[in-house]
Amino acid sequence: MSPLIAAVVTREILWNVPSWARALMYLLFLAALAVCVLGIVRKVRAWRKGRESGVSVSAAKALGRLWRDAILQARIWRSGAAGLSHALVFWGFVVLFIGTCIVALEDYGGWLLGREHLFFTGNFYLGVSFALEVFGIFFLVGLVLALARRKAGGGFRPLNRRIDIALLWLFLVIGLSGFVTEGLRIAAAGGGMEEHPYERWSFVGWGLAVCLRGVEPALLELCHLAVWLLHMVLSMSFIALIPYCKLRHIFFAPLNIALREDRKAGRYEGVSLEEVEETGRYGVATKADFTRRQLLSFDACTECARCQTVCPATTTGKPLSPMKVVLDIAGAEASADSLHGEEISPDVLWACTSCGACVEECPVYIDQLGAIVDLRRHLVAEGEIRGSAQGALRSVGAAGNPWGMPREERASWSEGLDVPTIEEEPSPEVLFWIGCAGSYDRRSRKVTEAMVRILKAAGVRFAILGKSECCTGDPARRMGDEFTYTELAGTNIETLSAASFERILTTCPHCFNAIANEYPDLGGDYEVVHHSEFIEELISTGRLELDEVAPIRGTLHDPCYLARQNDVVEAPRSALRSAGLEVVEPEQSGKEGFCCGAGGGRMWMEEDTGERINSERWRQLQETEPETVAVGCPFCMTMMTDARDSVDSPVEVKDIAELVAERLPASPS
Amino acid sequence: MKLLVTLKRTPQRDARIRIAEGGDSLDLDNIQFEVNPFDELAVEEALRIRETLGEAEVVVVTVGGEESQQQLVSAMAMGADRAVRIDGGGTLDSLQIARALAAVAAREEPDLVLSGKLAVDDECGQVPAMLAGLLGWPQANQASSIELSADGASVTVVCEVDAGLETLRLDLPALVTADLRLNEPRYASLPGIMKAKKKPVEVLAIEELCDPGATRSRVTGFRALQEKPPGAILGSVDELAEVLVEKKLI
Repeated sequence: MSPLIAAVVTREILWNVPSWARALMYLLFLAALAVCVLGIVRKVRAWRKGRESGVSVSAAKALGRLWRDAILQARIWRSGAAGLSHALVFWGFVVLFIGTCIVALEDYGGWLLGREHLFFTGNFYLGVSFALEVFGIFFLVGLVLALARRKAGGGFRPLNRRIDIALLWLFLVIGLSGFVTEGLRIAAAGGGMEEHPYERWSFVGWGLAVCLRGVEPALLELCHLAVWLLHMVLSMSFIALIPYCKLRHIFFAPLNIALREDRKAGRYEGVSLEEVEETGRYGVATKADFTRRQLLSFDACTECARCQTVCPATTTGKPLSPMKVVLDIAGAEASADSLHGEEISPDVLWACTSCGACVEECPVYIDQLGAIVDLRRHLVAEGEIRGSAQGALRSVGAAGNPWGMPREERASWSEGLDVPTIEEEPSPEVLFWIGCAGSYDRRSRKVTEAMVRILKAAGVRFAILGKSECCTGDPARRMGDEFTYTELAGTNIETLSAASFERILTTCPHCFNAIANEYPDLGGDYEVVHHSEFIEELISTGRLELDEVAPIRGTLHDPCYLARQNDVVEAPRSALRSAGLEVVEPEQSGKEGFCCGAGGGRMWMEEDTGERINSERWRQLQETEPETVAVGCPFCMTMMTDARDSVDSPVEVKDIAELVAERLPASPS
Repeated sequence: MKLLVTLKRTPQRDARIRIAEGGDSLDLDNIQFEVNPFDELAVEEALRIRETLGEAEVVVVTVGGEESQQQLVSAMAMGADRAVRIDGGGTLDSLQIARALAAVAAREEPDLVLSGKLAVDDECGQVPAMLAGLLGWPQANQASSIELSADGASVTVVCEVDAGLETLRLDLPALVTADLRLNEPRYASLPGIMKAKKKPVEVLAIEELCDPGATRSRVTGFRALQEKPPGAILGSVDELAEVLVEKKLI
């Protein structure tokens, strides 16, 4: 051994590793690297078969996203223990990887430049050694935590398959063998521990070495080589394994986080009808029908199962799991004739309520909903939409509303209520968009009427479109029928653009979402406000005065298309408090709310598998022991009322507008 | 194999029809139209037969003005290969329509003619029977299942009759009318709609085809049903009994 070692504060790299073992290391490394690169290349090739994606992302934006969602793990932290465990493993892994790079640089750099040491000496050496100990412990603690969570078991997550456990053990053994190698080296290298007391900075290794005092040096060296070999072989296997299992997210998740498209989950990617006419293709049948960016995103899946844990379909026993859809697509051969079949069946695709909980939850920003809609479009292209759902689509196209009610009766609700049409009130402050439910559905008409009373009480100049209003096309679009959606949206944009008004007011979050987020893509730019926001605005600006009453206990069921898709969370609560409701939050609320089960066209489909979604939501809401369940959406109204009636509960289900209208001061007459 | 499907343009099934002032016609101004739902079942069945055979031609035919072009396109959007429109006004009666269709059938020489069991507007249900009669072909009505024999020379049809089901075997060529339970029609797909616009529609004047003969039945007037008085929801059985006694119903 070189006598200099003790003089310079550093360590000998690859101490006690004979040349045959070094040769083995390099051979294995090259092999592992080749296997890894091959796997990545195959994936990238598969992506390139996809369609060209649109807009690119600026470097600054990409870096910002990486900082927030990769380095800081912002989204992963949202689920407590799992977030902690992943962050510990991730940060541990990153620092250990940097440590390995430093060692490699020192070794090859020194060799290239013909110098014995480059920079891995003195305080730098001690600092790095110390950091590696700390982050090595992070790494191990994170892994133990992850194993413990799997041991404890749970509903849908964490996944507890053999591969999940095996990978954790692989990392655990790599980490532990690293520490043991270090301990053995400190105990045996360079004439023993007394010769290099500064190795105390490697406190874990030092501690192990202390325990090994008095053991034969020859035996220590033999053990060191054996454990080093284990550490090295397992590390190389890990490198080779990355692209072939969920570990591939190490590469692809940051890539997807950086390159993802910035689009609200409620704003669907449009389809060019000219392109459909030209190619005769519509929706996604094969892998190549997805965009390259989508294909990349599917390979970014970490199999964390968060999406299916929050999915109202999965949790109530429907055949759909958003994660499984993503993995089925990712796992399909690029050459396969069709993605559709037993795994991705119509039942799976039609089970989606388009609530967007999966998209909101995914830590690596996969758009499961977008993929499901693309696949649904193919079903529609094949005419594979039957029964009541097909009936609703036909009615939307023919009668302008999904129930097939006569167009002439669209404004019948307003008879005798003295509600001006846009012809009678040509430049109103708000154009009150009634929506199909608000126009025809008996229960929802009461909400419309309540809103009219509020508008009148606040002295708002408003008007309705009357018979010329028609369905926004939302149900058609969610069900994958772009043709009907485009026609309806086009008609409405024509009507709206011919009218003059300041803002559009709507009581339906689905209408709100379509007009506010999707019509701009077709040239219809309007300011849209949901009635909960508008009421809140009327109250806070003093235009609307309400009677003071003793508060009653209530809860709010957040509409997905309001809270999650459009970030309207506080306004409805504030309006409800003004109306004398003590708002008790259910466990899942706001942007993390649980769907009523009616979105995505589910309103018009039978629900004959598993638990009913609305009943499950009703059960959740009842945990708050409310006297009143407040809703802000006609679909939620139907679903919650049905769920309530199915258990004969005395709890009221009322819309925000109704609860507010009840508090209007009695008219002076 | 060639399949000929007859279809009619009828008001959208949920539309509320009003009688025009004067009572001699219907006010169809703001009404949407569609393919008669029973005819749509016939189109779907023809497409399914084509799918089972792998190869067959599905031709749709209607008697009507320019406006019924849309319904032919709808059928072609579902998958029919081409269409024939016999240009004719609304005053033709069932027999005249059947004669025109028979002339088309004679030209096209289909192996099977499929029709809806009736049209949902006037519910006459006469044309298919007259058509089969004029052609001298066997017919089976209100089919809930149609099965082609292996040699392609006959069809086995299950018909829904009042007392139950009747199974008939017809030698081809033949005519079969579709009932509600025959199938569930597919949704006209987007690429289907695009393709349909390019599919051929042959327009023929009725006089070119045949002598339709004189109109022997015509509509002379319409009268709406008297509106029923609204029902009432009562609170209890006792209340119901009281009302029934009061109205001298018990």
